[in-house]
Amino acid sequence: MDIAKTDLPFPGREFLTWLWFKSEERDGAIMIPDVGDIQVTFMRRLVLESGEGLYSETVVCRGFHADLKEGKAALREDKKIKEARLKLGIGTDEYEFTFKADGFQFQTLKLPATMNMTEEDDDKEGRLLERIYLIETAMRTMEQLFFLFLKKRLSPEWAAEEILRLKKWIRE
Amino acid sequence: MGLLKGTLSLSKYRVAGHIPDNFRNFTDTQLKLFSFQELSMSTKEKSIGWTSLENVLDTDFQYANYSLADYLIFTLRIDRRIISPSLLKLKVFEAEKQLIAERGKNKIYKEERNEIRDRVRLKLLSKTPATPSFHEICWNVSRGSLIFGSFSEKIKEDFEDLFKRTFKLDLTPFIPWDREYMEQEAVKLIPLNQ
Repeated sequence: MDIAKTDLPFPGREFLTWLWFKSEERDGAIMIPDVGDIQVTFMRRLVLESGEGLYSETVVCRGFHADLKEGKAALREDKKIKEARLKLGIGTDEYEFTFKADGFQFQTLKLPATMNMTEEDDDKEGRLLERIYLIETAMRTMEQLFFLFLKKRLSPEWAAEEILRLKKWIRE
Repeated sequence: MGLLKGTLSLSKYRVAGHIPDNFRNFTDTQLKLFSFQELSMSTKEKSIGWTSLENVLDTDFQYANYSLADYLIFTLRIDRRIISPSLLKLKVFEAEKQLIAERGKNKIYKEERNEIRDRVRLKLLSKTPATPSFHEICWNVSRGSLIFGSFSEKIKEDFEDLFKRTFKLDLTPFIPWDREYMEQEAVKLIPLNQ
């Protein structure tokens, strides 16, 4: 894959915008090859921006899933999502975090409750390794979703189908 | 960051460079060499160094307590003395007033003004306690990936500088659209031929 072929000034923002659209296509379910369906929910808070530096315009939207209408309106003005509060459902585990698209960073990441969390001093190392595993799972899943986007973005299918569906969804 | 409990805010890095054969010994020596040292009541503004994860007062790293399975886990501690700008302004103003009163004339030269400002600043620094901050590090050596518990640009700069001086390795902020990373890793995450 060659990112240069995409001509994307802000790959992270394009990805996050696509992810919102994709998450609404099948009620939050997104299929990752070799992993299966995962659930992606956009929650409470979105930050959208157009341009950069002095010429940037930012819109912040708050509200639950269905109420992010202002976010859609900002997309119609050609703004892209810079930051979003997301919930990922992977198997029975749920992760919640604010995703910062430009630096691919995670803010206030809430991990799924683990079996060992109620134990006090027993097996601290095991508990720490379990938390590291969960952190890495959340990060890897976002990377997989990004590459899913990029693969789609670089394929002929993007111009023929995906972009048309995305534009239609933005207009709705 | 909250590796042990609570929520986490984090950035990811890629670590590259030559890992020496005796890396575990090297790491042990270097972590201790660049461990956190308390700011004495001098006029130094900042102290930065490594501490252990569970006890941020521990800089001895006994029994290699930073090592867990494939990971090296420790904490970056940064202590800063921060002088309130309004307090500095007030104290400089007071010192200038005093000089005027002593000399009996209103004129203060630019050099004198700068000298007063520096003197007042150093005096305030020596009286100001340092404010500590802690940022966790979880480094998977074999995979060459590292998680750092902050995305503040200022803190990341301090971290990158100290990490490079400590371990003599390259550290690059991770973004999946980095060309080199995509060539090496993307195919492992998503089968491209499906």
